[in-house]
Amino acid sequence: MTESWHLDDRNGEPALVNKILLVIKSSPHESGRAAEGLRMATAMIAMDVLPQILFVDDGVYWLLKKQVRESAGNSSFTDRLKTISDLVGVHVLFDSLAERKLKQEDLDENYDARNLSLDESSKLLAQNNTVITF
Amino acid sequence: MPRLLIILFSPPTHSQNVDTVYELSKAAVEMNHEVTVFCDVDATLNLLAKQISTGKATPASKIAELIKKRVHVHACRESARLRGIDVKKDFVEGVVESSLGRLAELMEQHDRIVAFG
Repeated sequence: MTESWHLDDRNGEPALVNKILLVIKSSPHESGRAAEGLRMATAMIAMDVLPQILFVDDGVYWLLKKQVRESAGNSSFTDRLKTISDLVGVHVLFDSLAERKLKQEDLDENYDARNLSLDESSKLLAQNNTVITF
Repeated sequence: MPRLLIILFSPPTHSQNVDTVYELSKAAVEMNHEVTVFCDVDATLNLLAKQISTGKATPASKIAELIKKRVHVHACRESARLRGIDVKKDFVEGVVESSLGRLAELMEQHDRIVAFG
């Protein structure tokens, strides 16, 4: 039987392994929403649940060099983002960069963000059975 | 028993997400699914006991009804604290004080995860 929204009772077997993609689409200065996504990623990694992370739309601004978010009254996510990228890696949608006239060299090399095309991003979405946007 | 985890980010007044979560959870429980609703960030504002109003279907009263139907409702402790909510006193009875770490565990323990917000 194929998987469907109506879940099959598996007679007490453990849950399926959830592959989770966190999509960051809000800019650092827009709201606390994307910051919550990074907090969630940190908590997941701490609990050994490794998410994949994709930055799209205004979310790509998180990856720019020399962001000093503390000056705007925000807590620093630079170290947190660096740790996340070291542990699970981060992806960025090339089209979102191009739409904003940004290039790979505008991104902080410490994050080592992997550039993805739309097709590659689609595959990434398909590989994960849960997608949460921030 | 199949397990469904719903993550809610929306506050009571900004969208119909709470209504959708309520209807979805109710339907899933009626189909004998185990349901957990995790309220994060502004969604913790849906859980205030003082927003239960007799004769009115407020988000808080819907949450209370879900708890009576054995839906597990978790609230992010830190999100609540940042919004001035006393997690020991202010929440609807039966809400579980929780955290993002616990959410990560719940993600592993559930078969399907849906996020609203």
